[in-house]
Amino acid sequence: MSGMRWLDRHVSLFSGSLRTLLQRESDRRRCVGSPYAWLFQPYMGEEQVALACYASASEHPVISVAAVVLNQRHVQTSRAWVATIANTRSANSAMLRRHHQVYGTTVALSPSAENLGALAEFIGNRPLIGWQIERSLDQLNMLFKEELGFGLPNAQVDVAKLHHRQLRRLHPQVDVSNDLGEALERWQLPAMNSHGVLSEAAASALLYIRLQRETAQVA
Amino acid sequence: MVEVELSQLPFTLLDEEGRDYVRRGVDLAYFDRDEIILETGQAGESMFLIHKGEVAEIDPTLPASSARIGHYTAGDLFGAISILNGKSRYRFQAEQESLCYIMPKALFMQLCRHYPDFENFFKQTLSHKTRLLSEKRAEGGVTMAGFMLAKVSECMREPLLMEATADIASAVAQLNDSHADSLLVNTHGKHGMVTKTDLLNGLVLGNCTNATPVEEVAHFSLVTVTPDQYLFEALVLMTRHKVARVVVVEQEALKGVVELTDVLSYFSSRSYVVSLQIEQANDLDALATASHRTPELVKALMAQGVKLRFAMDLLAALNGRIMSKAWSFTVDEAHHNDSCMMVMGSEGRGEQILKTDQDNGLILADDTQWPDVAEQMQTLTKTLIQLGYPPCPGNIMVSNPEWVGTVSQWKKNIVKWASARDGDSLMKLAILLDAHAVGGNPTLLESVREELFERCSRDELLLSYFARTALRFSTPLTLFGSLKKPQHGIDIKKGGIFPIVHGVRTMALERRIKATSTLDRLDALATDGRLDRRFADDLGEALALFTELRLKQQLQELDGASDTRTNRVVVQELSSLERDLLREAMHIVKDFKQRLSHRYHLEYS
Repeated sequence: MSGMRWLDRHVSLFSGSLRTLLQRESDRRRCVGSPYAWLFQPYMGEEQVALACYASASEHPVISVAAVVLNQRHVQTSRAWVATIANTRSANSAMLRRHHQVYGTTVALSPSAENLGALAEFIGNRPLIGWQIERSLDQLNMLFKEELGFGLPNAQVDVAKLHHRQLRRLHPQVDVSNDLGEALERWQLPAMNSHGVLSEAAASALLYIRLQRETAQVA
Repeated sequence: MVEVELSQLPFTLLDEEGRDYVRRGVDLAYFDRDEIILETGQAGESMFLIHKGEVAEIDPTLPASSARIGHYTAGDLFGAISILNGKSRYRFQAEQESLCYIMPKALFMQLCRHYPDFENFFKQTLSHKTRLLSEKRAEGGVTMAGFMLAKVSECMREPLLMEATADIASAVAQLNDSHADSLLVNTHGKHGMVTKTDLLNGLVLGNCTNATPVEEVAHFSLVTVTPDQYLFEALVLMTRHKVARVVVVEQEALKGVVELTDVLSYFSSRSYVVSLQIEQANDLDALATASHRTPELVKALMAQGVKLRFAMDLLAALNGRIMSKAWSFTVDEAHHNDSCMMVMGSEGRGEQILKTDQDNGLILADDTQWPDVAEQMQTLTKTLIQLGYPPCPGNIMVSNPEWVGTVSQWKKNIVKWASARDGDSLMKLAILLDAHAVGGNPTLLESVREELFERCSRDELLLSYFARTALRFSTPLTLFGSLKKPQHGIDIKKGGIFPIVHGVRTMALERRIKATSTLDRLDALATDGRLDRRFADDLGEALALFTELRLKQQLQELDGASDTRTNRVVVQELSSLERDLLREAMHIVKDFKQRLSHRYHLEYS
């Protein structure tokens, strides 16, 4: 019994490489006394958070983020967290404007502990899903480590990998691309009309729901 | 991902700010095939806008075959009415994998508060839906118009016959046994009526005993009707003679009894009294009052969801009665036998529901002596205008000497028109083909019609010219078979009604079918074998749909008190159910046109 509970408690830790696993465990120990300790608790609910990030690498990184909560059926786009995180004073203002325009964000937030904390609170300990999520989390986690002292500890599901696996199951010889648009088309989902971060988050959420149902059917 | 399509109703009723609220306030939801989105009785918490997929609206209380009462596809809304009502009346079920935008109740109510137009849109569709549903119900059960068109034979009781020599005691016993309150006695080949009142009066006030024969209390002056008369005529007779029952007689043989209570139970709504008023009208003023109430009757019938065919029958019967009364008021009785007034065009076909212009003509017997015919016809036309029939812009009226003539003049005209074959002549032939006698001697019209068939039905060249008009207006379908959606609406008369009516008219001419109503002609053509039954039924249904849509439009315009009548239906304003029906109907028209051009060789004309 206690073994099962231990497994439940740590099940989120078994994803990712050994290095991240150890990193996460040490983060958890370090944050035991902090207000963020609950983020390291295992999640028992039914919801996930779809995340999409675009980062422009420069001296002062500019990152547009969208996070959308979803459950088995609904994608709560009306309560999404969408912002561009950038140091408004030092960052290139043209780059900031470009982010607003291309990624469809309206708010710019400085990468302070407070703002990042709000994002972490929004995500909570729910699992993160996203199209090639590891890559998009890299930059974001760097900011988190800088400001809060830990990277996002949540379990991660890469929708791209799910898609590839499902596709290979159906067509073993298929050439898979890493384009989200193509994946949406393949699963008869409506295409994204813009490249906004919220669009991508919602699209990956829909794709995730669709793929979950596909898996349930096969099983 | 929140690129909601907001360029259509009802979102066009919002301003940019409101649309922005919608864009930011909606969620996405994904439903599997056969998944129930909203269950009957479930509280309405959100409005759904379909982005992709198909959703069926199902009434689970109905049997499976008719349970599916609505169908929604991409771009359609549902669930709003559940919010307004508090809970969902029906079940919404995804028919395919569906992706919906969900607008939460709070946001919806907020929009309704700020934008009254937006709210009204949903209130309208609510009443619209209830009407659709009532129409559905009316289709299954007995229609109210059926009540109005009920014949005496449908409402009569079996007569209770007794020997005239039987005594009062056995008569009372017989009445009690059969739960009746009147009986008939037969003496010397005559029938007498004995009611309970008669028995009571005889026993208490008269000097009868239980042993007196019943014929002593019987009345022998009976009011009779035939089984084929309308029920309301029986009611009129009762009112006129102040009796409570009439005897049904057919060719001297006793058929039954109609009681006042039975008739009254048929007439429960006020608006049906219009036909009674027409029947009772003894002067022009009374007739005009009754005549001006017919739009009211049409509205009542439509509101109750009466099937259009019945409404048309009823209105045709009423219009015929009005015309015929007007005729008998203005024209001297002496001329009734050697003249015939005919109505033509839509009126002749019995397809005129609201009063449009009068198209009528007069046929006189060859040897008639009627010097002041022109004056009397002027009066008749004026009378009809007074009764609410506007004058004909093409001047096809009895006041126009061109449309008054003796039988031989008419026959000469037909020969002239048939050989001329120009547009005007063909139109006149078409008008005359729909003629229907409303006053005077109908045999005159019959002989003219015989001549028309004789001259035209075998003339292939004429038929080809005649049929060509049916192809004059294009069917409003796109290359891909969907409805055209111009902003100002599609002309349903040119695109739908006219090709059917004229095509069927041509075929009726060819097959010498005497019926004038398009639906009757279709029946006759199907019986004749010229059209197969299924296609004829389809055409009839399509015509009924077009007429109904046009009638709705016209009733709206009647409310708006504008004088111009249009035949335009704006597709975008129809519900998806109606849009589907309209598209199907247009395809039937297209098919029919192809058959016409094949039969009458119109391919290269």
